Amino acid sequence: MTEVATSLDLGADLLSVRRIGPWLSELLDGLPAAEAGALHGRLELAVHEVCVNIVEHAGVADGDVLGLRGDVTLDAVTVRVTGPGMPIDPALIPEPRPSEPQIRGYGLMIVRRLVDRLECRADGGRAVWMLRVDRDGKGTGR
Amino acid sequence: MTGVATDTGAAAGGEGTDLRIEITADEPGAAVLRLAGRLDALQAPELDARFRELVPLGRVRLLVDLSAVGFVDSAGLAVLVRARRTTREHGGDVVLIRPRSPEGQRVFRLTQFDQVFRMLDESPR
Repeated sequence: MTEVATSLDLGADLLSVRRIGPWLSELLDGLPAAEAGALHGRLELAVHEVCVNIVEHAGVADGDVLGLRGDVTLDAVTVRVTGPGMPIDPALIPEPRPSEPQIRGYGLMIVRRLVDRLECRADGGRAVWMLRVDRDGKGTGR
Repeated sequence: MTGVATDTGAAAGGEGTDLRIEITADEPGAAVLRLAGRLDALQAPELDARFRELVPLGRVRLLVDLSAVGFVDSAGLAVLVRARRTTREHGGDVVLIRPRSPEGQRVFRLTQFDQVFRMLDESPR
């Protein structure tokens, strides 16, 4: 059962992606401060990395929009990001070796480490990313 | 070259803080870059440009002060990793002063680059 749900449409560009942090603050506003702070830190970076990945690699066109929807339940906080591009299976993307100093490829690895569940599926010709963080009452900082 | 400050990028309508870069280069072969704000995909190219200016001048021992950086993403990390590689190819290195905020430190911890870079808690005297 959803306790709180909010949505936000972002321009598909790097400047607009900066609106994620303030939007998450609103979404998490009703949670205990310590939990909200920990969840905000994890989700801001994870959602930011997904959105930047879409902006830089999904072949966005002028006027394209990223749709964000956040749901807070007793068990979890879930953010869905809908944007242009084909869905990919995050599990099939190879990870760089931690600590090995290669230059690129860390975005999805970072997302995987921040969320408890990550999926991507197709919906009407767009890709929908689902990022879920389980609630343990503390936000379990990562 | 001393005290070159660059306030990069357009304002984000109050949603985030732009990256400020201040470069001090008093010692031959070295430079200190003091950063403040967000080191994200929007601003990382500006820092990359500063590195690309310094290295051809022989300034390959770089101290990058991230203590006032409140957010680092994978693009910001990539610029630092590239600078580390380039300076080391020329006999130098990139040493970091650790971000004070947990949000600034998170990317380094998750990727274990906090064990790759030499990271200081504060600027050496």
